[in-house]
Amino acid sequence: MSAGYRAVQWTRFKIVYDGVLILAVAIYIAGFLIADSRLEPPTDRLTGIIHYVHAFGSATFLMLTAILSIGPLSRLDRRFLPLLYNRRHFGVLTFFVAMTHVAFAIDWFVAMDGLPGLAIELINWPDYGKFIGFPFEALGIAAFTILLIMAATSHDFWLSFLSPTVWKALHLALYLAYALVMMHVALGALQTDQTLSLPLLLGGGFATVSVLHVLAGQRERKRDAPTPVGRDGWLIVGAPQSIPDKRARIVVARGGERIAVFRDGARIGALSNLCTHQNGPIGEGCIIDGYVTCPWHGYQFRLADGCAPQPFTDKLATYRLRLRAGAVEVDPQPLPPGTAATIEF
Amino acid sequence: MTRTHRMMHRALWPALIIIVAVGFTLALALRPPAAPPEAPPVARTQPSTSQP
Repeated sequence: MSAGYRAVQWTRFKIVYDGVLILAVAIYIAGFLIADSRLEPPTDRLTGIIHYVHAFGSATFLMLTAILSIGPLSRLDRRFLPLLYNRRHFGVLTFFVAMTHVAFAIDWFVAMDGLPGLAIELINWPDYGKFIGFPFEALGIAAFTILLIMAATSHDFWLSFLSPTVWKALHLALYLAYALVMMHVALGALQTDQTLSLPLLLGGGFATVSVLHVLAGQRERKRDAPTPVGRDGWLIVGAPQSIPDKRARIVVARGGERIAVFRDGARIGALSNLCTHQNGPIGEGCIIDGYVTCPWHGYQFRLADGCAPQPFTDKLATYRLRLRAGAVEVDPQPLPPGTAATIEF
Repeated sequence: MTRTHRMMHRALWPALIIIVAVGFTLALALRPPAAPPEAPPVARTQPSTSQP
């Protein structure tokens, strides 16, 4: 977190993360080019360019598959959370790899004197009514445009400017981009490539991402089941000791947002489960150095009043708590962000 | 994630899976067959009987 503007807040973890990513991409591209050149040695400049188009295109698809797997994986298993921490850099790198794929594709059309032909193909409207024969380049252009918009708005400035809710909704477009990439390849390269490797790569990648998202969705649906309520509508959390020390139990009012009820020794506080940064699940974090810490990017808030430590100005909504018949109860109506509302037992 | 965001996720993915799975399967099933390998040139063994 930052109290002022910084282009990138580099940390050792981010540098290592980015370094490993760049190395992995470079190894994949080099390996692909070597293997492809051995299987089909380039006979002229055009076939040489095609190898590069395929190398960067397949790298883009695999990177998108990995990015879209990180979210559900970290919901299903906390050990994947470190991958989520710097996922935006992964996304921006994917955009640059996709851009290189586009550059080589344009180079191929230029070498073929085929740019006017591409333009004619893209505006040949009857072809858009076909399935086989659909201008697959248009699908690639649409996917690339989405990646461009997402890379351009990836910075925290846009997150703050647009609000986390709007920013997250905008970045859901990545799913559409992934579907467009799938169909771009299915209606393009797959129509001429007769090997098994391409359908296996595409089908396997999409199936993996789909299964992970469905599993994570089912898990989240269970967690959205409403918490039992008392006669006056307060949510019954349970005995104070049932809340793990330095961690939270998450409760849900019917039709409402999740509430994270944290215990720090003998003190209990309830905060909105939505981190001010990216609406991350605060309640899945823990208390570090006396501060409730978001598991996604480490944003911190005081348990007492939901305020971030100085000089930061972020505040979470808090909730009234009480002890009744040995059980902690929480009022589902939020207090204004930054209101002190803890109890001791 | 907000409740709305989670609901969008849960609604979006099944629809996306069906659309892409159908599109991908059709693209695979309807792709043109591989071009047959070029036949090697056959040497003529008999003189042509056709007359100009």
